[in-house]
Amino acid sequence: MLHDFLYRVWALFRRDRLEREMDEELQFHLEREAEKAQLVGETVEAAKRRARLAFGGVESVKEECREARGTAIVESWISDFRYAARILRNSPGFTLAAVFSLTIGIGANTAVFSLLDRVVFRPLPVERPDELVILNLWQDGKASSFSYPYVQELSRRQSALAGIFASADFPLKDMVLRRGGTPDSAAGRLVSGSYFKVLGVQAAAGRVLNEADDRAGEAGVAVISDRFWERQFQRSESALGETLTVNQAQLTIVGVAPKEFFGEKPGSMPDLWIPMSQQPKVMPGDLLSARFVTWLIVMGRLEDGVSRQAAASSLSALAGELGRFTIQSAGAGKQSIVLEEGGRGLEELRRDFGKPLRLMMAMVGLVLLIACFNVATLALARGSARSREFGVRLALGASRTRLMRQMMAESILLAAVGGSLGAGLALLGSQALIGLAGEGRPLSLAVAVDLRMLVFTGAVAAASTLVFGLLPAWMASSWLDPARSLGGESRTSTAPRRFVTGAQSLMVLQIGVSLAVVCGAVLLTRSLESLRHQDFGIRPAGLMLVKIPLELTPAAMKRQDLLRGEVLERVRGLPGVRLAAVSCCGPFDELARTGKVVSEGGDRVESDTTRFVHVSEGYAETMGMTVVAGRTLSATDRKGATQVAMLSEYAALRLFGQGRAVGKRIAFGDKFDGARAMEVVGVLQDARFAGPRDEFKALVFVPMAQQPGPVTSISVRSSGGLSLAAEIRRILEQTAPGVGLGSITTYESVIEQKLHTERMLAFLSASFAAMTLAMACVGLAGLMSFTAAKRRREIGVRVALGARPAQLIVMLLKQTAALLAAGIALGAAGAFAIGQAMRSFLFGVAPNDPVSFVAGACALGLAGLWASFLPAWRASRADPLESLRVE
Amino acid sequence: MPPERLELPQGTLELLILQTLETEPQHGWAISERLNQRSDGALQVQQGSLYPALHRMERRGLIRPDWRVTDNGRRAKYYELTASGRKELKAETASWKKLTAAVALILSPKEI
Repeated sequence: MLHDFLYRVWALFRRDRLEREMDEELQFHLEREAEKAQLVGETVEAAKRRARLAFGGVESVKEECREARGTAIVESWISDFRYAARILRNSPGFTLAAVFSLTIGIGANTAVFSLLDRVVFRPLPVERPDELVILNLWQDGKASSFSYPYVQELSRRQSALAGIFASADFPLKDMVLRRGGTPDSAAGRLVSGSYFKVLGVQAAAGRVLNEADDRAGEAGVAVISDRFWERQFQRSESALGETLTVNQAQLTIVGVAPKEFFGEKPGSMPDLWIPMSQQPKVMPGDLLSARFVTWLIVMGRLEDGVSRQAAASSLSALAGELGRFTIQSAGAGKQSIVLEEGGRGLEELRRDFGKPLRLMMAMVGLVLLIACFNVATLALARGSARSREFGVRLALGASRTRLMRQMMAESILLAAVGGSLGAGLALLGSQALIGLAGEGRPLSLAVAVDLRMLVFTGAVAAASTLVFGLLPAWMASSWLDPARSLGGESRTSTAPRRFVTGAQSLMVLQIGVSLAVVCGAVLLTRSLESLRHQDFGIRPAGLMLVKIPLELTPAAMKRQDLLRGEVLERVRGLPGVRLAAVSCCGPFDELARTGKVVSEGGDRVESDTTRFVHVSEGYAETMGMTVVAGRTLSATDRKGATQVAMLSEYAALRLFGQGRAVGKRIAFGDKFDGARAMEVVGVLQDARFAGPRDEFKALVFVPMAQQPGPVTSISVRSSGGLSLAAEIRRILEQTAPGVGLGSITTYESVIEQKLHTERMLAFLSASFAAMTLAMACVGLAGLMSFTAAKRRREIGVRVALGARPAQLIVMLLKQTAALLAAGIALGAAGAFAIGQAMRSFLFGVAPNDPVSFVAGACALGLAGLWASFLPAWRASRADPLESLRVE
Repeated sequence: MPPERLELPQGTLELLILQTLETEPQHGWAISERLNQRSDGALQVQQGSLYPALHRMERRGLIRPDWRVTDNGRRAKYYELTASGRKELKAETASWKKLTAAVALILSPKEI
């Protein structure tokens, strides 16, 4: 069998030689046979004749021999493909349009799915990820994190899981790394020693962390990521053993993690994995013995063959005895441990991007549908134009299967070209998508094209090409009377007209689906605009933020005084700077101080979400916040003077009612304490502090002079914009050397950063809408040129009778307009549905926003008419003599 | 084809070719001559039909082509048996014998 197969393949490539040899072999036979006849006395001519007679038909023998080589099937396919390629080359318009649609449908879908897969579906790159679980401590219907003593005790006593580890990264995303020269920033993860063992990850170089590294007092060590190794050490072996100063810790590098390993949190890429024992040196405060600080994420690995439920119930039994190692308010219910599937890691990225990406996947799925419709429409329309060709071929004796095979070859060729271009587009697209998704946050995902998706979309697109390519050939072969289709334009046959009707119906469907996509894009774009241009309560224009990373060390605290004093003064003195102020935990800050606040006498307590903002004088003015009542902070609100505060409108309303806050007193906490009370001196307009989409929350502004807080940002209002950044940087370096500098950005770009998911959605959906419109244009233009070609005779007659080109164009465009109108009417329902589907993503625009619908319909309608104009114009210019001669 | 000559049952031609090539490699014309002679002209293989059979057997690896120069200095395509061709010959001969014996038995039951 193997010989057989190899022979066929070999024969395929040695075709010419085999043909020559066969000729020679048969020639030899005939000559010998003739010689034999001559021996018995026949003439040369008679001998040759006899030889040929005895042999049989030479050509048919040759054909049989070729078949015996077993390459006939392949060869006839090759000739089919050659023919298909020629046909496609000869109709470049159709080919380009079809390939374009296929490329977009396949490429865009594969790109979006590849990202969705990375973010939502893909398991962690660790050993047997399906065994991993995330532990949640439940009490009274609320899940909480773990304290370190709890984890230690749990780890010691549990036997339900093969192993557990704890990790945390919250305050460590922006550690200050000092390695000679200017301070740099690094992202770290604090992990317990069992981390790498439980995940089943080996070091690429050196060693991983182990349980011995957990012991307090152990010299500081760290495992670095491949990327950090590359960035800081250019992959030099000498990195191992080198010591880094990170915050207050001295960490010796003991190993490098594998390249593909990013930890348990998809989308993140830590620079350093640091053992728990180093916690007090890299974070403010010692949390290792703190029972009441729950800050750790705990994950574990299931024992072979033990179910999640069984392990959870065993752990919950243990949780009953471990209560004293964590927060236990009086009267609280029993604690239990719930195990969540952990094979895909922590859900942060899934939570942030899962829903948007699914929405995009749905939209891009519609794009694929549209691409299929488009190819199908074009194939059908072309089928009608080709009915004459089919007729000729059938008349010449081509079998129906042969005709179908021909069409199949064309479809496969189209799908192959579209598929490979689509793969290219997918690669570029997924790269761009990761860039887009990663903007404004350290997102680390491998660029990859998902092969399954590529194959899937390719197959769908190929199938639609195939079905609608075969349909005309099949119908032609069963309906067409070859004689008639040869004789005239097959005027009496219903088949071509049916193709046109079919193509038009498909086009209407396509326009309907397109409208949904376009309207979806308009809705998301309008939503983004209303987020951008809403009233933030802060005037963004001309405002700049200088972020200072928070370091709670004595040296850093000393620098804080400089920031509040000299640095601020010198920034205020810069040319172009109108106002400047410092603050702690300002708008959109990752750090936020929240708590309860109570009014004197009123006993009204605002919830935990009240934010406290420590500000210098001039803060409200710098931020451009409007004073609703009272005054802003001034230089007189210094230490020793009456403690004062400003409230946001919402806080003032909740605590005191409309317009009664100024002059009243408030205090932090549950109970009003006169000794620590503050007098409300002013009320400011509500401002969005947590994020652009957030509800207004209660805000309390207190003067830094009276209640010191670390400076986390300097706000600067200027006319100079970012050109001041260099000056500010110099001031910081000169006045407060050693201070870690975060970023200097305009407030507008901070908002943009916060709107980054919305921007991604708007951008992606707009791209999809553009693709959709392009495909609708291509489809309508194609349809127009086919129908115009069909009506060529009619047009010729009309021109001959004196119709002007403009009248003809209008006549042809009416047809397009009817298709568009039908499609838009049909698509209204789809547009409504997509609006409802994206309801939760919309801000400041209703899901059934009429403006968006009308805008989408207009865009689609105008684009469609515009695209049909050119072929219609061309048809109207045709020479009537030429057109009439066609018959 | 003259009526007194026998039509070859399906697949027999290949067996005959294998048999012809057992002793020495031959070219196509020689095989056709040999078949003609051995059957005393009773089996007339249309000469042309020999070649598709040869090429099919070549594809299946039963015979191997070998271009040689003939006695009178002409280049010709000789075929020789391969190992699997020999095996095939043995097996096919045996099964042919069994088949003909069985068929003969059925056709002339009185002789038993």
